[in-house]
Amino acid sequence: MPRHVVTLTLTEDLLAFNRAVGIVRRRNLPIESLSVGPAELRGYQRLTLLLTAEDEAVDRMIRQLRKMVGVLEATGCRSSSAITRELALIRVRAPRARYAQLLDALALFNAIVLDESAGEIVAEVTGSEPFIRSLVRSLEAFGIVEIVRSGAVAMTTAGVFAVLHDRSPQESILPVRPADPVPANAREPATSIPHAQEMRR
Amino acid sequence: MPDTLTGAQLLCQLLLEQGVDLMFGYPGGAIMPFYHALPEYPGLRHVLVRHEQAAAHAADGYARATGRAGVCVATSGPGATNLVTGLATAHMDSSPVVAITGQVARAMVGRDAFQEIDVLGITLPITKHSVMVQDITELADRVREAFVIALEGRPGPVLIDIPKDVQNQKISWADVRHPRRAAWLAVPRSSGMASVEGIAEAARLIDGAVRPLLMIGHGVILADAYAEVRHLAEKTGMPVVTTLLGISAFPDGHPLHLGMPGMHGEVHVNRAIQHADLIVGIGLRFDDRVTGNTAQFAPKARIIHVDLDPAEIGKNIPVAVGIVGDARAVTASLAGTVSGRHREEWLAEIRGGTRLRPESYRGDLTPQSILESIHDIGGVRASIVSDVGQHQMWVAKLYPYARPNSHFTSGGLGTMGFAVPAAMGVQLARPDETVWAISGDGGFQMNMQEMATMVQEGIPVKMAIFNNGYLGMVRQWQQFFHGRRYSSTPIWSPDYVQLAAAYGIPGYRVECIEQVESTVARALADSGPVLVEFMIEQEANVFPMIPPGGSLSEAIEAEPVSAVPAA
Repeated sequence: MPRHVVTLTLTEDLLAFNRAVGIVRRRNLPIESLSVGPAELRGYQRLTLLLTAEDEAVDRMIRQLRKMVGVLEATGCRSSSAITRELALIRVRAPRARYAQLLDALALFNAIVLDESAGEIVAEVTGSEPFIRSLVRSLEAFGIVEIVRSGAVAMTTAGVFAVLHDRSPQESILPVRPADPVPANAREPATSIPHAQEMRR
Repeated sequence: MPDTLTGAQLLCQLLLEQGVDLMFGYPGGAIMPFYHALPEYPGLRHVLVRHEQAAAHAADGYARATGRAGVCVATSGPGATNLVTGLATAHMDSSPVVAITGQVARAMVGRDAFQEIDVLGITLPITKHSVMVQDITELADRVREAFVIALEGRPGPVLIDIPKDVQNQKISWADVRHPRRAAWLAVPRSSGMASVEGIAEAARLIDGAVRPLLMIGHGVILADAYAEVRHLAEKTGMPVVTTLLGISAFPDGHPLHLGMPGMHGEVHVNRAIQHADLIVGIGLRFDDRVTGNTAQFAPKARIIHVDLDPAEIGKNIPVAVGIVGDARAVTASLAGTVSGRHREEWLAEIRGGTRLRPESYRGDLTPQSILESIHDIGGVRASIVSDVGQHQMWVAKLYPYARPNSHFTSGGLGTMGFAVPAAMGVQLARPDETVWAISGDGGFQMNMQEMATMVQEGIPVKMAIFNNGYLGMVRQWQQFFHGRRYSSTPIWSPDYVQLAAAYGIPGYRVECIEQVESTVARALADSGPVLVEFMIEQEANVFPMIPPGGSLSEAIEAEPVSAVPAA
C-alpha cells in the first residue's frame, strides 16, 4: 500500500484538533506520524499525517475532513511527491574511549551536539525518516538512552499542495468544482484569510 | 428589554432572533439559569418531555417537517448523554437540530464535578459541529454560528454546551446585537453550484440511455426539489425509484413511480436497477441497505450522482459523473439541458416484471388493510411517522404518499423509539394535520413515556402499534438466517388500552379487520392523542428480502420451507 502525506489546515483550537483526529481514528488507518504547529495564517494550525493506506481510503478521509467546520484546507499526496522532514533528539552514551568515533558518526549525519554531560551526549538531527533511522542504527552501537522525534512535516515538491487523490482519469469522474460563484457568506469584504485554492483536477 | 442581560437571557433573545418559537427539553442543575429566564420570553414555547432522548427526536421531527432548525435543551451529565441517540439519528439523516446543554461551572470543569460529563467529547462524531461557550462574550457568535451550520449545506445537528456560570454572566445587549462575522464563515466551501461540464455530461448520458432510472433520496426533500424532479422524470420518461428517506419526494400514484429499492424493495424495482444502463441518483448516498452487495449493484449502469456533499460522491459506488450541488438547482438545469423523450418500452419491461407475491399473512388483519384504512379515512392531509422494524417497511411500501414530505422515519441510524417523540415534533410543526406515529410493540415501549408529554402539552398524535408479540424484524432474521432460534425476540407488552387509560388517553384494540375502519374513524374524530393497538399476525414477514451481503438480484420472496408454522 502506498504511503501518503495528509496535510490539514484548521483553526487553532484543541477541539478542532480533536475532531480532525477523530475523523482519522474512526477509519482505523495506521498513522505513522502526526505533527502539529502553527500555519502561515494567524489563528490556524497545520497538521501533518503520514500514513500507509489505499488511495481510495485516504481520499474518502480527506473528503470527510474537508467538510469539518474549522478545516480551511485538507490535502494529500503520495509521500513520494513530497519533501518530508523530521527532527529527532537523541541521548546517546558517550564512553570516553569511543568519543571521537561517536562525533564522527554524528558529523556524518549533520547532527548537532546540544548537550554533553555525565558520559552522555544529546544530539539533534533533522532529515527524512529513513535518514533518521540510519543515524539511529549507527548510534545503537554506542547505546541509545532516549529518542524524541517530532513527527514529520511535509511540503509537496511542486511548491503547492496538490490533491492527488481524486479519481484517476480512467474512472472519468468529472472535476468537482469548488464555490462558483462564491456563497453569499464568503462574498463579504475580504479578510486576512486568503481563500485556499481547492485544486482537484 | 433591559440593556444588561444574563447569559441565559441572551440565549433566549438569540433563540428568538433565530426564529425559534418552540423547543423540547428537560431542566436540571446546570441549565437552571436558562430555565429561570425562560418565563420572561413567552415567545419561546417549551415542551417538557419525559426523557431527553425524546427531546432530541421531537426536535428532529420538527426540523424534518419544517426545514427549520429544531431545538432541544438538556442539563449536563445524564441530560446530555440522554440526547446522544437523538443527535446520532439526526446526524445520520441530515436533520438540522440545535442542542443546548448546560455544563458545570467553568471552575468545576475537569474535576469530575456532580453531573459533569465531556459532552463535546461524546458527541464529536455524531454532530456536524459542537462547541463549548467559554465566556459570555462568545455566546452570541456561537449560537448564531450553530444555526447557520445546522441549516447550511447538508444539514445536521449542532451542540452548544454552556457552563452554568456563563449563563449567569452579564453582558450588554448593545455589544452583541449585531452579528459579527465569525472566523469560520470565511472558510470557502463548496457552495452547491454544479459545474457546467458536469451538467452537460450528465445530460449527454441521459439522452443516450435506453434504460435510465432516476433514484431519489432525502436530498430532494431537503432541497424542496419535488417539482424539478418531477419535471425531469416526465420530460425524459425516466422511471423513479425513491429510497426510504426519499419516500414522498415523488407522488406514489404517478405512472413513473416504481417504489422503494434495496433490501426490502419490490423485485421489479431492484430488477430495474440491475437492468438499467444509467442511474441518475439525486440526493441519496447509496447506503448499503439500498445497494446490497456493491460489487454487483447495477452492473450494467453508468452512474450519475448528484449530491450537496462532495464526500458522498463516489463514497460507496464508483460514479461516471459526480455533480456537487443543490438537488433543486442541479435537477432544474439538468431538466433544462436534456432532450424530451418517452421510454415506454423500458417502462413496460419493468412493469412486466411485477408480479403478485403469495401473501405471507394469514388472517385478514394485514398491515396493508390497516394502512389503507388509515389513508382512506384520514385523507391526504396526514403525516406518517414510522419507527424501525417490520412495520417500518410496510409503512414505507404500502401507504400511498401523495404529498411531499409526508413520511418520516429514522433511516440511517434505524433508531427504535423514534416514532412517538418525532411525531410530537411533526405534530407541533403541522398543528392542522393528522399525524400518525406508527410503531411496533418493541419500539413503542422504548419511548411510550411520551404519552404524558402529549397529554400535558395537548399534542394530538395518533399512535398506532402493530403488535405481533415479537421484535419482528429481528425474529424474521432469526427465522431466515439463524435456524428459527427466537433468542430474546418474544416481547411482552402491557395492556396498551389500560395503559392509555392511565394517561387519560382513549385506547383501542383492533383484533379483526371488521374493527379497523370504525376504530380509525373514532381515533381521528378525537381531538387529542389516541392509541390504537393492532393485533397483527405474530410471524408475518416482510417480503421480498435481500439477504445481508447479497446482491439486488437475490431476493427471498416467500417463506423458507422450514419456516412454515405447524398450524
